Amino acid sequence: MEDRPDHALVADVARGDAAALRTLYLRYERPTFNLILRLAGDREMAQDMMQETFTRVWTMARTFRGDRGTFKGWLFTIALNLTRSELARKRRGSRHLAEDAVEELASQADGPDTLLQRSEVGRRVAAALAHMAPHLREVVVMKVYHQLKFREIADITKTPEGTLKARFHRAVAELRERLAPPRSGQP
Amino acid sequence: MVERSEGDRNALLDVHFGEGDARTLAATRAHVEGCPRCRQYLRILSDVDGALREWADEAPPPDLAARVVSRATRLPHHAPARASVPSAMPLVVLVPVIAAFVVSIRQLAEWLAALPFWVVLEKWPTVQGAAPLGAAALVLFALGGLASLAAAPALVMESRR
Repeated sequence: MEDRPDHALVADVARGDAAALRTLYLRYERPTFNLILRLAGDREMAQDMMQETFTRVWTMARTFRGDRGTFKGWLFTIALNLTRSELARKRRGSRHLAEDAVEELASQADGPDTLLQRSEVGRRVAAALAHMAPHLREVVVMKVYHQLKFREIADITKTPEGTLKARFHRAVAELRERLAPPRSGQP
Repeated sequence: MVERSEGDRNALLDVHFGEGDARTLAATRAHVEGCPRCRQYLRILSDVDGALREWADEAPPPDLAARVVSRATRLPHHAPARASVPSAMPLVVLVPVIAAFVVSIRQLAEWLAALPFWVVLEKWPTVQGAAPLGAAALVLFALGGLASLAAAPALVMESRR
């Protein structure tokens, strides 16, 4: 089972094979979890979105078309769309909050589990990504952490490659400011 | 100061990530050798990339796999869909439906022809052309349209759930 290609496992999942779903899950758990985590910045939410994502894989496996792309691309598309919806729902819920109140809530999301996992620098990077517009964060996360080609990101996000590259340049400019070491005399 | 064009910057992205065809990459690398501004942008890309990678991959909770798979597979599984086009519908089912439709058009046509004002209407050339059967079909079509319009809000609400 472990050596079988993705498309064969998805076909088994489409026939109701729970063991095939488990194999696919274990194969993609870490990259999918980290994709969602870096988009959402919250381990709790990443776990919920993992549940939603693989539930979709289970119920929608019959709609997967291997001739149109890879399983990983399909999986990332599901994870991305679910995370986008959840983040949008949360944003609507906190629309009335002031900017610093949102930041306070974001820092409260750094529970003991997060503190255990993330270094000080990691937390600074997470904070810098969290401040970016979601469409900029998406391209940075998929490009830098998942080494996807711009063509693959274009398929997942349904966005032209040129637009993605322009977003990447903008993201680099923003991150350069945010990740620059604090100058002496500044807090 | 001359602004670097979007195309130039995209070429530098390709160099940084090693994407694109070998010839273009070689040409861009050759250009970068003699261009301090492009070298500077490549350094910025490298610095930001390096800083981002300081946020290392995190391990998911050890029990997440068991939780996710057991909860997902508890849900009803969608079996592969069979062809749902009308041509796959057995003719045995379609025949009575068509017959009922034809009978209802005939009944409606007879009812229309028996109406007192039909004699007056028949003087109009368009009504003469339509005759009672055509008019009956039109009335049924209009009723079907009205029923669809009446059901539309409920269907839209259902699809948004």
